[in-house]
Amino acid sequence: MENKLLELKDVRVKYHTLDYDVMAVNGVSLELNKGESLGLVGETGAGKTTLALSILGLLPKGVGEVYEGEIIFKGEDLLQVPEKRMRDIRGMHISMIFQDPMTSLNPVYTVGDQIAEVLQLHGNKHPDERVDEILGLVGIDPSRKVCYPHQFSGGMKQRIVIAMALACEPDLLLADEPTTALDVTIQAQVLAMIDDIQKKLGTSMILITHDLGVVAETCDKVAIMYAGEIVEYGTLHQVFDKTRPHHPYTVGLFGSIPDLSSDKRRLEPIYGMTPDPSDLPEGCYFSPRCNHCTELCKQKGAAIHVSEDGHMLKCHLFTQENKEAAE
Amino acid sequence: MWRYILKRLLWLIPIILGVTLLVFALMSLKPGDPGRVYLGLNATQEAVDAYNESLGLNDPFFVRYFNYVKGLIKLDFGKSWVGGESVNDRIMSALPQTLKVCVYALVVAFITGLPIGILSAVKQYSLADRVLTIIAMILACIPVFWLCNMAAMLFTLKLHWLPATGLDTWKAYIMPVIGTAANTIGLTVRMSRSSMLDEMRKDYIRTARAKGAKEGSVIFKHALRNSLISVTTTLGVNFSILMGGTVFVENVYAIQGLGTCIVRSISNNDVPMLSGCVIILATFSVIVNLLVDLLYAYLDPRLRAKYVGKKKVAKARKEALNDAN
Amino acid sequence: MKKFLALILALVMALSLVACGEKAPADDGAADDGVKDTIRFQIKNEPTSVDLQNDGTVLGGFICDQIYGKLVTFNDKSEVVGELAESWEWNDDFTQITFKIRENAKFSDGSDITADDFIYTFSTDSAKANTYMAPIASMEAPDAKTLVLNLKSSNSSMLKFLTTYHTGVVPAGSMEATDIARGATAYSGPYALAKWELGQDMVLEANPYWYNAENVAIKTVDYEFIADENSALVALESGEIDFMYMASTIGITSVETIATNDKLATIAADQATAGMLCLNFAMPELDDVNVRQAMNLALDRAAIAKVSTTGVPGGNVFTAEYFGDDYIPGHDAPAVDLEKAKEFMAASGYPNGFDVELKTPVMFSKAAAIVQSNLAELGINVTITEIDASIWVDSMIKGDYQMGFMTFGNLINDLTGFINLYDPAAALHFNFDSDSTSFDLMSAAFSVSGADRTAALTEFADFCEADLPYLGLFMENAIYGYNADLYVPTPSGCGYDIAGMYWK
Repeated sequence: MENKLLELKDVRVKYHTLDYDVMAVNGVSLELNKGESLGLVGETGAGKTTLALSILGLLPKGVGEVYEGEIIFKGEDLLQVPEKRMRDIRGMHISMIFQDPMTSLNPVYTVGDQIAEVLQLHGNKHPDERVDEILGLVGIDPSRKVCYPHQFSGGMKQRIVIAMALACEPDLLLADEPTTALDVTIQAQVLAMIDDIQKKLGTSMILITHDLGVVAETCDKVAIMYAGEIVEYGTLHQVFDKTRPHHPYTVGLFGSIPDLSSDKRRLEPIYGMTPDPSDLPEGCYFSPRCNHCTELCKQKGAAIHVSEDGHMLKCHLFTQENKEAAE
Repeated sequence: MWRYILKRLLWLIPIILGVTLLVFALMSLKPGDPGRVYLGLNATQEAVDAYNESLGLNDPFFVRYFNYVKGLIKLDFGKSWVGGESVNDRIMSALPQTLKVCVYALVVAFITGLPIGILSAVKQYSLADRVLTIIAMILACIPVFWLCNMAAMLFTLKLHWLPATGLDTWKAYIMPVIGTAANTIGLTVRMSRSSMLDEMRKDYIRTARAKGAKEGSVIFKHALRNSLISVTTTLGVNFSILMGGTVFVENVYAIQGLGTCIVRSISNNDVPMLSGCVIILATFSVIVNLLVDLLYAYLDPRLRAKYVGKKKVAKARKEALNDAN
Repeated sequence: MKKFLALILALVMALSLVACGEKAPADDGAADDGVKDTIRFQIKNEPTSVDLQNDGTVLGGFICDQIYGKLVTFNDKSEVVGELAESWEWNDDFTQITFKIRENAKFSDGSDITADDFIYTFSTDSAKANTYMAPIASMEAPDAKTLVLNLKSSNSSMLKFLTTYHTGVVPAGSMEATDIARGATAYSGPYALAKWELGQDMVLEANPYWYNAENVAIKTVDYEFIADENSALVALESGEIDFMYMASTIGITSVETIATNDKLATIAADQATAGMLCLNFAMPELDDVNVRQAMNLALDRAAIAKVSTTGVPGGNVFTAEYFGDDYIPGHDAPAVDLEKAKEFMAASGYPNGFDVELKTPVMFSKAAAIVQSNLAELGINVTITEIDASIWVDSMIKGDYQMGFMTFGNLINDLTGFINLYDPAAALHFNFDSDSTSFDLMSAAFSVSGADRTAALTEFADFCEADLPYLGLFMENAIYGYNADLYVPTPSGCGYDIAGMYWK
C-alpha cells in the first residue's frame, strides 16, 4: 500500500463550449506505484493529454471540468485540495513536460533563470549549484545557462525542459509525447536519458505517446486509451504478448505498425475514425470500427474484465460467457 | 551596438534633406506673399517688394534651398519671414511645451492603458472586460477637439477645479495631457489586451503553471514581458503622431507649442518657420523609432543578435568551439 | 523586469528635468494696499515683433499702441487731440505743421523726449518706406521741444496719419543699439515692455515717466495668448482673464453668453472697417454702370450685416461716427428696391443677366449666399468660390477675380490706402478707370482742408454714389468682452485705451 503513488478512480472530464459539451475522459481508473512507468497509448483525441492535465489541475479554467471521480496522490485527493497546495505539488511532487519543445520555454528569459525559477518556487534560495547539476545531468554544458532558448536546438530544448521538470526531484513525471516533435536519432537520445534519470532518481512516470515502439523501450505498464476510456491495461509483457487475447483496438494498433520481419506488403489500418467527443456513439465507443461488433456492443457500453494476473480488457468479447462461448 | 546607433542616426541627414526639400517645393506652390502678410494691405508695393527682396525670395529655388541648407549645417534655422524673428528662438520656446505634454501623455497612456488591457485580457468575457473594452473603443475614437472643449466647460466653468489655459501650474497640465492621451489610451488598452490574450494562450505559459508558479507571476512575469514587445512598438510609433497632432489641444488650451507654430506658419506662408518645425518633428520621429528598436531588442533577446557586430558573433563562435574541444 | 522599470523611470525623470522652469502662477494682481492694478488681457496670438515701423500685423499693433507714444491721437469722438504734442499749428497752405512737444514728455528711462528723437525715428529706412510718413519732405528742430514737419504737398490728412502707432517715437540712436523687433531701449508710451518670454509671457509695466502717469490706474498688463474664442470665453468666465479681445471682435455667440452673465460686460467700438463687394472692372459686364446701379439696389444690406458682423449696414464709406468732420451726410446706403433695380438692368447692356464668380473668405460665406440670392433676382448668376484669406490678396494682385468680398480697415487713419485701390498704377487695384472722373480727383480730395476739403469730399461722395466704384455692405463693430468690475472707457479710433481703465 505504501508503494501506491497515484490512483485514478473513475475520472470523468468534460469541456464546456457554448453549444455542447465535449466528453473528453469517460471513466478512467488507473494505478501507479513508486518507480513505475506507465505508457498511455492512444490516437490523437483519445483524451490522454486531458487526463494528464487533470492530474495537475491545469485544465483551462471555466472550460474544463473534472465532474466525477477521484485522483488520489500519496493519499490526497487532488480534486479536493486548495489551489495553494496544488501549486506546491506542481513542479515539486508532480512535474509535466509537453510535446513541443520549441514553444515550451519562455523566449525572454535565460534557460538558467527558468530552471532556477522552479527551484525558487519550491523553497531553494540559492539555486545556482543545483541548476548546474541538473544541466549536467541532462547533458548540457552548465556554462550555457546564460543562453536564451532560441540559441538551442530542438533536442537540447527538450532536455532543458526535462531538466526543469526534474530539478526538484518529483515523485511523478507526466511526459506528454516528449519526443514526437524530434527526429528519430534525437528521440532515441532523449528517451535513453529520461530512462536513465528516472532510474537514478526513482521517479515514477506516465509517458503519453501514440508510438508503441517508444512504449516498448521505456515502460513497465501500458494503458490503451480510446475515446476517453482505458480499453486495455496491463504490464508491458501482457499487452505486447501476441499470444494473449487483446482488445480489437489494440489489435488494430499493432497491425498498423510496419514490421520488418514480416512479409506483408500492406499495413492493416483500422477502418474509420476516432469518434467526435462531443457526439459519442451509443453503446461501446469502438463499435462503429470494430470487426467483432455485435448487437450488444451497439447498445451497451463494454464490460470490464480483469484476468488473474491483472490484465484488464474492456470489451464484451471477454466477459465470462463470451469467453466460454468462444472456447 | 554603438555602431548600430550611429548608423541609424546618420540616416537623419538624408531624411532632413528630403523633408526640407519637400517643404520648400510644396510651399513654393502655395500662392501668397510674405511681404504683404507682414506689412499689411496698407503698405506700398515698393515696401512689400523691398521686404521680399530682403528675404531672398527673388532668388531661384535651388539657390534659396542651398543657402538654407548651409544655414542648417551651422544649426541655424534662419529667420521667420513674418517679422524676422529667429526660428531657433521660437522653436526653443515652443518645443519644450509640446514635448512635455506629449511625453506626459505617453506615460499616462502607458500607465492607465496597460493595466486595463491586462485586466481585460485576464478576465476575458467578464463584465469588467466588456465594459472596459467599450470604454477603450470610445476613447480611441473620440474627437480630441470636442473632448478638450467639453473638459474645459466642465472642469473650468462648472467646477472651477482646473485653469482654462496655459501650462502655469501642475493643475494646468491635467486637461491638455489627458486630451492628448485619450486616443492613445484607447489604443494601448486594445493593443495590450489582444497581445496579452495571444501570449496567455502560448505553451510556455502552460509550462510556467506546471512549474507551480502563482497566477500573478504567470501574468506579470511571463506573459507581460512578451506582450510588452508589441505594445512598445505601438506606443513608439504613436509618439510621432502625438507630436504632430497636438494642434487641437494646443489651440483649445492656448499652449504656444509646435502645433500652433506649424499651423500659423502654413497660413502665413512662412517657409523657414515651417521647415524648422518639420525638421524637429522628423528628427524626433527618427530618434523615437530608434529608441523603440533598441527597447525592442532589450525586451526580446531573439533580436539582440542584430545589434551585436558581426565580429563579435564570430568571436563568440570561436570561443564556443574551443570550449567544446 | 526591474532593470526595464528603472530605465523607464530614469527616462521620465530626465525628461522632467528638461521640463523644469515652469512659470510661477500668475497672481491675481492685488497690490499691497488691496487695490487691484493688474489686468490680464487676452489677444489671439503672440506677436512676432514689436517693430513699430515694420510690423503691419494686427497683433504687434496692439502692443505697439500701448508702448509707443505719438504726437497726436484720436479721442472717442474721432477728434484729433494731442498726446506727446501739447499743441500744433498748420501753415496757410497745409504744407507745414509745427508741433510743441510737452515739457514733461519723457521716455521710460527718464530721459526727455525731444524733437531730435522724432526726427531720428522718422528718418530710418523703414520709416521712409512707410505710407504714413511718406508725405514728409523734411523735418526741423528749432529747439528741443519744437518739431517742424515739411510736407511734399498740401495734405491736411497728415494729422490723421500721425495718430497711428507707426508714427510712434523711440530714443535717438536706439534702433542700431538693439533689435527693435524684440523691444526698444526705452519706451515713449503709457506702458513699457517689461518682460517678453517667447512662447510664455508678455508683460507691460506702467511707464512712470508718462506725462499722464498719475492718472494711469493699471500698473501691469499681463497678456495671455488664446487663439480659440471658446477657450477665451471660458477663461473670461472663470476669471482667468479680465479682457477678451480676440482679433478685433468677439463673435455673436460669445456676445450672447456674456449678456446672460452679470459678472461680465461688453463694450462696442465702432471700427473704421468697411465690408464691401469689390468689382474687377476688367470684366465688361461689371464695367457697365447700369449693372452696378442695379446690383446696388438689389442687395439686402440688413441681412448681410446680420450674418457677417456685429456692426451695422452701410453703403458709403463716410459714416458719421468714424469720420468726425470728414463726414458727408446724405449718402447712406439705399433700401432694397427691386423694381428700380430691374429697370437699371433693362437699361444696361446685359438685360438678361450674366454669370459671375464671387470669391469669398470662409468667414463671409453666409453673406455671399445672401448676395447670391439677391442678385439672382436680376438674372445675375453668381457662383461662390471659397478661398483662404491669404490667397485672396494674391488673386487681387494678379487680377484673378471677378467679384470679391473684402474688408478694408484703418479707414479713419488712411483713406489714401483705400484710394490706392483705384490707382491703376498700384499693385493692388480694381482696374477702375471711369470716364466721369479721374484718379486725381480722388487723391486730391484728401490733401486739402477746410471748406475746400468739404467740397472735395462732397464731390467724391457724390461720385461714389453715381459711379459705384465699390458696393459698400456694412461697417464693422468691434465688441470686446470684459470683467464687469473693470471700468473701460469708450474705445476711440485708436482702439482700446488701457491707460484709461481702472478697477472699480
